[in-house]
Amino acid sequence: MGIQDLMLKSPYLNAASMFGFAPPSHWPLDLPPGAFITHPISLKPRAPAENRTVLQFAGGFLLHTGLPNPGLFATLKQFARRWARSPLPVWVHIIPSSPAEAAQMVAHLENIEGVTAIELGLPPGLTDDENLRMIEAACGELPLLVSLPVDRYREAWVFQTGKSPVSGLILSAPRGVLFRTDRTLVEGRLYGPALFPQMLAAFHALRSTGLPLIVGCGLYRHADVEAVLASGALAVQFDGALWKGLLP
Amino acid sequence: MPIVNGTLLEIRFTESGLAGLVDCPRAVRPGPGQYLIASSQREEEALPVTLFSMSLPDEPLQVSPPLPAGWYPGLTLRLRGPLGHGFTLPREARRVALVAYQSPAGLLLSLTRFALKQGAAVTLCSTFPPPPALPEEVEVLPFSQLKEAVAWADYLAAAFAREHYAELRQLLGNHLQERASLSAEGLILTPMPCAGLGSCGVCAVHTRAGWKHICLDGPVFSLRSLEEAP
Ligand code: FES
Repeated sequence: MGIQDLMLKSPYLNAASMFGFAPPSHWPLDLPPGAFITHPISLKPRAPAENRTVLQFAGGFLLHTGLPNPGLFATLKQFARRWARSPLPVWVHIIPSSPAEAAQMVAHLENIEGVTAIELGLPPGLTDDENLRMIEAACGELPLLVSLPVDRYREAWVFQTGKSPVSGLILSAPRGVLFRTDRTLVEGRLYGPALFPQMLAAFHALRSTGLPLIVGCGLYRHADVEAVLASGALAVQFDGALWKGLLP
Repeated sequence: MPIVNGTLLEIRFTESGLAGLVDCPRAVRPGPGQYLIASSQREEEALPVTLFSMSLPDEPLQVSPPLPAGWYPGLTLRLRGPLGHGFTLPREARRVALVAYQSPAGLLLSLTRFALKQGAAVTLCSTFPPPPALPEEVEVLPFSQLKEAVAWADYLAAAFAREHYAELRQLLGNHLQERASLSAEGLILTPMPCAGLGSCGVCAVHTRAGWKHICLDGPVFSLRSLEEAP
């Protein structure tokens, strides 16, 4: 599997959640984008989390939003035409809550013009079997990329992912917990340059799976991007660097 | 949307944190209540920073506190702006009440100066100390006189963090409802990490018209459009 098989125009992608539901009018980095990855989409609408927040720590930030989205059908109604017209291939990031939902969402997306791949976000807390069932259910006619939070790379199911026709793993933002100023705890996804060493450990450990790997967190420096691509990463995904608009 | 480089020329310590003077083209300067997104090359900052202006459009850009502790004069900033919907000061407003609740009153400084320029009398009710640059024509009231200020004003502009809105609402009591003709707007402060680029949803706010994004639809909203607990 190479970047041509996934119809990527370049190996430089955005991480899900960084650009909303439609390709941005302006790509903020000086590396050409290879595809557009949508904000995570569930089958049914999701409201913002009550305690939504972003908390900074040295070298990164925690983001807790509840992944709000209008649900698959409302999203398609609003954005399918823009996906069809997009000069970039569109990967739809889905967050089904069951294998049946995964199968339903994928079957629907196969008929949507412009969509060239599915990125699957797995709900936290599933057993090995449940993860594998979800992946199996999401395998359809479109290439399937599985988003793997880097803190979970040692879980047994990850090494069995290759039994399904999966096109690759995306090493994505891990979860963590931080205190708010009022000392209450918030759980969320972690981003930032401080995650680069953890991501690199996962990247090297997972090369033995033989699956194509996309490095999707911790990239905030040009030199790191080029190094992971030279080490065999199929592509890279940027997160906070896109919001900063800088890649020193 | 203009994206330009600017330079932080000066840093000042204030009671609400660091404020600064930024050299940048006029095209990106925000109006009252609008904002700019600024990024530095400093690796310890994984997110861009939101900047609010304290100046009039034809003056050098003074930005309101708090700036990141590690910023220093001479720092190059990548600036994107102006962003968001700011305050809409009615031309006919002659009695302007400014309310800074648990947030720096400097956020209302450029609006203050617009109001004075159009001949309005201005009062400030703030839980924080008034900014040193506050024009002396502005009457500063203790926060306990909030209700009197609301009763007097024909335009009210408030600044508050999203999590403090319910408290402010309580403090305002029925006064807003009783003054149906009073035009009242609020600048909602909340982290805006993607500033509309990603629709990440972290700045979502519940209004009478449904969910809105503070970064795109605000940060200034009509106070009457906000739900009790946004
Ligand atoms: S800051 Fe991300 S949607 Fe407003």
